[in-house]
Amino acid sequence: MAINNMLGGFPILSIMVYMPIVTALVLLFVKNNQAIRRIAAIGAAINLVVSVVALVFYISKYFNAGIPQEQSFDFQEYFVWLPDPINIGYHMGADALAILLLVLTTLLTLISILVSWEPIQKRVREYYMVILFLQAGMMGVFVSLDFFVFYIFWEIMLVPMALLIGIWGSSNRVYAAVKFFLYTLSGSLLMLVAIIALYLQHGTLDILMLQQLGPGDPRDFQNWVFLAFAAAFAVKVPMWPFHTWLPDAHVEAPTAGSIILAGVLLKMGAFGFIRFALPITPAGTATFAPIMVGLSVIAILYGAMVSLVQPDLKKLIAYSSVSHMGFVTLGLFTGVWLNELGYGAATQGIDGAIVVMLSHGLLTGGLFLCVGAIYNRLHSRLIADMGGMAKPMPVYAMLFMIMMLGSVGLPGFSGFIGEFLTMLGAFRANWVVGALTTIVIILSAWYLFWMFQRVLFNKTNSAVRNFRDASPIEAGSLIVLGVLSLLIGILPTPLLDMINPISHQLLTVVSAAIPNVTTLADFFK
Amino acid sequence: MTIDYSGINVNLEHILPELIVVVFSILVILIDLFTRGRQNKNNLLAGVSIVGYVLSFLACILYFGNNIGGSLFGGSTVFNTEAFNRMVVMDNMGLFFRMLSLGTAIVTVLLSTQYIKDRGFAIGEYYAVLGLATCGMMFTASATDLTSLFVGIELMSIAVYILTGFARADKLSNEAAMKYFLLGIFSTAILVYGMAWLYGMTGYTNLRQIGGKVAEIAAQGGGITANGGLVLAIMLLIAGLGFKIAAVPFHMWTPDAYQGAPTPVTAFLSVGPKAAGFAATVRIMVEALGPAWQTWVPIAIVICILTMTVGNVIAVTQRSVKRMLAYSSIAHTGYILIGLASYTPTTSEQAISSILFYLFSYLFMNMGAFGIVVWLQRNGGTDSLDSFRGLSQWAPGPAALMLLFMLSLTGIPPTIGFLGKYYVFVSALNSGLWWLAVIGALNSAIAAFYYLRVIWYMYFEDARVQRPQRSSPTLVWTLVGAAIAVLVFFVVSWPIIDVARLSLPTIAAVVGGGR
Repeated sequence: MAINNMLGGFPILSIMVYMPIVTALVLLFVKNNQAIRRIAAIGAAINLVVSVVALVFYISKYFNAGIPQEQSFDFQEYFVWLPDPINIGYHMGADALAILLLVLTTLLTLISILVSWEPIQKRVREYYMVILFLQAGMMGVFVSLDFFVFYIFWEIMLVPMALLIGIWGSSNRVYAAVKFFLYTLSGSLLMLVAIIALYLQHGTLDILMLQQLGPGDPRDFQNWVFLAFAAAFAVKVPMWPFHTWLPDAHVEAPTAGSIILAGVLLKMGAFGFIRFALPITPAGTATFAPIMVGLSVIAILYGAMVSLVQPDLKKLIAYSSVSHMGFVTLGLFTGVWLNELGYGAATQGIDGAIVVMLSHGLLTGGLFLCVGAIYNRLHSRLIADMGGMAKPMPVYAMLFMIMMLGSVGLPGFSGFIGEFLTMLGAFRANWVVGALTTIVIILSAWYLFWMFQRVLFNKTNSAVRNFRDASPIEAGSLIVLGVLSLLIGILPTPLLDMINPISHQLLTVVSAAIPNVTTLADFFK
Repeated sequence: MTIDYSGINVNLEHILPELIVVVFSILVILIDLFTRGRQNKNNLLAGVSIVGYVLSFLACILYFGNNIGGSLFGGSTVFNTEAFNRMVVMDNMGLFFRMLSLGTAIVTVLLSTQYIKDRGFAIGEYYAVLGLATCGMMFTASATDLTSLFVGIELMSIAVYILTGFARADKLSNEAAMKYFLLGIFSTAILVYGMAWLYGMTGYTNLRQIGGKVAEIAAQGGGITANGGLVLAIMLLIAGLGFKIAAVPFHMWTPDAYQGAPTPVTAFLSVGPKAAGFAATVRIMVEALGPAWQTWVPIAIVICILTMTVGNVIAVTQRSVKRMLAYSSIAHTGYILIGLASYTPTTSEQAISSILFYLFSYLFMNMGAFGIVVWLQRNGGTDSLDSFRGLSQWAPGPAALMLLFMLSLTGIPPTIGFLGKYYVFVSALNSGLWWLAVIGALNSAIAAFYYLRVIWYMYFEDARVQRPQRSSPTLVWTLVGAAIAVLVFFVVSWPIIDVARLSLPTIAAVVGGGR
């Protein structure tokens, strides 16, 4: 096996993954709360720098000779963990998508740590330890190239997130934490069975090997493995009708929890589809693509319509996440569906899905930050209690507006690029699907503008009159997120060049599997 | 008429590990007579017991090394043949279970020292009886004859009944011991009846000779099912063994016995006798009845599904953590039975080694969980879930340990419990029982709920009382050790897996042998 590492074997990915754990263990020995916050922030900041350095290295290598044409895993590390006959390796590696998501993770983790500075006064040490462990799990998921290692990180994420919701959440937190835990665990366990089935089929769990061997599997095998994968990933995305844990979790989670949940954890499902389900079981994916597209359309419309009637600001944003993540799965599976009809090079859908993933991480992370800022001052999430906030908090209102406009999908922001590409893909696949999804443009403008009006304008509520404006941390974080979103929105080409090889590779694999596809009717017979 | 004694082989070296444990148990009673002062006595006797177990453990390691080609005894002495007229054997599987029993006993002693002192138990008798129970487990593991197997099981069981009722002043403990005793002898009677039928149908008491005979029967026209007596024997044996490993529908004694027994004894109960029960099960089902696997595997599958599901579903409703862990222990029997249910002659290596590995992983996580209950009881709590309320606030260390043990029992990485589940699921899929693996996976999700509830009581709820903590260094360090084992054996699991793969029973189909 060729181990491709431009740093000559330097384990930069492992360092990034384990640094949060080391930082968390250091926190065990620190008494002073202020020092704990500082150490956690410094650890997260270093990790952000390292991930950006990795991104720069990656770009400088692969853009050296023009636009890259193929998906390349770099920074790889490999050693045998469980030797024969079990044959499991510790394999890490990152392609462009993984590195982009790593940067997103480190950025949002740092922001989460910073915005928790004042609101979290209860059990500070545990709080930062939990966030850091969560970060380690998330980073591990993005860079593992062995299914066994991947599954370990996948499950590791679960516990800190449940603790985060359950300890530091608001009133109904226990219910939300338990629901979150059980929902995601049930899906994951089915995936575990699928992983074992793949292992027994091929004698290896190395993802790069499985990506080569998997497409040759019998189609019934692929169908079942895909369904088991889908059980795990659809819960994480979340796709309708597996989404019900999300609003509860978001509403009860502390601000940092919501930012990480929306910004990174929701990407896990889509990442799983891109990295595992599509390349390893292309025939299974193609079989079920119509169903997945249908569920995505429902999620998009349903999420938007429920957002429209939410009295709770945080729940409103949570349901808008369901809608936006619907775009991600829509893009992925219309991409596959398209292929079936013979548009071999139509990568718009998948490109769009990846852009929506990144953009949703930036913008919805930002929106939850805005909601958190209100909650810290008002201690209420009900829109009815707000109103007229723009008067005491002009800077905040301005930044909130940027996040809101980005989420609506205003041209110039990353959201527009992603949703536009996704809809393009959808229209090319099936005009009915495309037409249905465009309705959501109107709906999302409606619920977001209306929310904005009720929160920031209208009659000034007496409770909000003396609120102080956004703190430097809040403003700074929002500016960073807004600038990144604008950057992607105005100059999408470099980003698309980075991810295009990945979508191209996916489509090549899927189109090779087309002769192997069952129709749904066959499957259910 | 000449009698050939050459095959009898009464070399005492073949039972050296058991002998060491027996000698030290007797030593404990003797020392008990000649020492004064409860504190001294407790420390001394616990120390003597542990020395005995460790020596025995070392002996097991040496024999194991010898069996796999080490040269300790000059490399030429062979111990893994049957000795004492084919009554016992020093094979690797027996050694694996012996080491497991000894490990359980060591941890139990460490968990017990404070407890029995606090509660005023009779110290000498406690350690001696514990040693005898361990000895019984070890004999069960090494037996290759129905009679020696039965003696081993009885030695273990009677000692364990006594341990269960050791809290003489405690009504619950008495009730538990009585129930356990009555149901236990009842099940033993069924077991022995099954053994009698097996002997009647095959004409042998030696397991491997029975295996040869069963293979002959299986090769005949109608196969096993044509031989009603043998089928009856299989049913009776499954029922009898099912009691010992607490499989549904033979699990009724478990919750009461576990709840009533002194907590360290419960910890012992949940691992030691279960492991010994599985040793007996593997010996009988694989060595003797291996050729009849097509008859008993379907029964094992049904029992396995019932055990997992009933155990998990009832555990959800429990308010006492000891009772909850009792039902969880039933559910874990179910997971281990996945390994047995996926037995076929071609997949036996994977099937049996997954059972062995699961039992190994179960030792640390389950004894750790009970250890936390022991700790809580020492610090003014009870075994009810309410005692765990807000534990993380007044005792962050023990709460973190309990969190780890609960995660391991749920099967969440990076803990050894995950690997145990992983291997039994691999075993099931390897035998084509993918739906059994799916049922196991769904059961793990149900189980997550009640393990998670302990976590949420510890972490999400606020403490009602802030209790001062009494120092109990032995207990705490034992629990830390168990927690480290839970993590370390996750990362370096391959030595254990290798050992488990080397510890397979002898498949007897080829051993014929007439008299």
